[in-house]
Amino acid sequence: MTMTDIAVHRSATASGSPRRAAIDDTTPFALALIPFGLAVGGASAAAGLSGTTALFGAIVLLAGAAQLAAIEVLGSGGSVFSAVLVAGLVNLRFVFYGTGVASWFDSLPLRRRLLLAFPIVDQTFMLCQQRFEHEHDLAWRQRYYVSATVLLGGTFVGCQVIAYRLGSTLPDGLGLHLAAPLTFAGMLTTSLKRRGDVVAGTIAASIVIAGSSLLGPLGLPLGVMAGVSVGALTPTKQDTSPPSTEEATS
Amino acid sequence: MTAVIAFTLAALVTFLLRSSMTLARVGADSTSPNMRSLIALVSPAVLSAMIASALLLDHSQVVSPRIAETLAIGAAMLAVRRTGNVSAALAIGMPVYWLATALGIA
Repeated sequence: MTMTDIAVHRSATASGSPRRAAIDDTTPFALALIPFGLAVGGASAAAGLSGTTALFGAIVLLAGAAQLAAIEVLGSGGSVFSAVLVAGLVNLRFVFYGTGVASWFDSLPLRRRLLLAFPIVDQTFMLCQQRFEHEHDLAWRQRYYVSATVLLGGTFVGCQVIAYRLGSTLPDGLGLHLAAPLTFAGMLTTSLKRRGDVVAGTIAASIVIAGSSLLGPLGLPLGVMAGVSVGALTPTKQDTSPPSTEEATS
Repeated sequence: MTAVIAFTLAALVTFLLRSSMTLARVGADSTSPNMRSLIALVSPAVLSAMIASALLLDHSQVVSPRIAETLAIGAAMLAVRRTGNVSAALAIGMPVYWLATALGIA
């Protein structure tokens, strides 16, 4: 059990309520989504999408990176096929996240499981993966998952609406384009627990960059597959997880 | 209308990706430890690739990393590593970027 796992378990035991636990766990991620949501909303406005279309895209996709990629493709005059292909490739990792949903809620009816699979995103996958390691009650899990999803989704979509309304009044100097990479960097740091994680990340990043002109949008899924494959072959004795907030201050 | 069609199709594809394992009846009993290990490796691989793309690619062409952005990412990762709090990435990273930009560090 890593230090972060211990902190999560301690918090879960202390709070009891799944909604409370979801709010506590999700709030930092929701705050981090604000500038990202603003960036995506601003991109929608800049690409000339109508407010209704931008909102529609945000809700039905519920995947910021893919939405941003699709907007950029459409905004630069790309075809529907290109936009869908890019969004699908960016979201290919959801196949693996879907395995989490299938495992966490495996005794629920199929229709319910499909409904729960719809909003899975990076943050909920990582939060639930840690939480559900210690919490096996199905009702608790569902309430936690739905609460986290509502908070994250509501924040993200709400920020997009605000940014769309503000449109071009948001200055470039704010550096909103950096919100997504910074958020990803934060998430990456907490996910680097073993040597294999570092290897997987390094291999994936290297292939995406080295093969960018040759592979194009295929670089991401191919890089990820190669990174995961090599990472799986790496011995995982070393724990490189960062200390939790509680432990850092106690 | 084109954007609506694109978003609808992209959402359909995304939902199929998200639900594929549920439809394939992959559950807790059938998810082996090896499979779980592989799943755990997906996040660092995807996140690293996306960060590298943001820093080093411009329309599929490799570019030199901008110092202000690289500093911001580095500071963000250091802050999260020290605090264990993901929101520190933006709380530290954005001001570092603004400061570096203000100082003319491109």
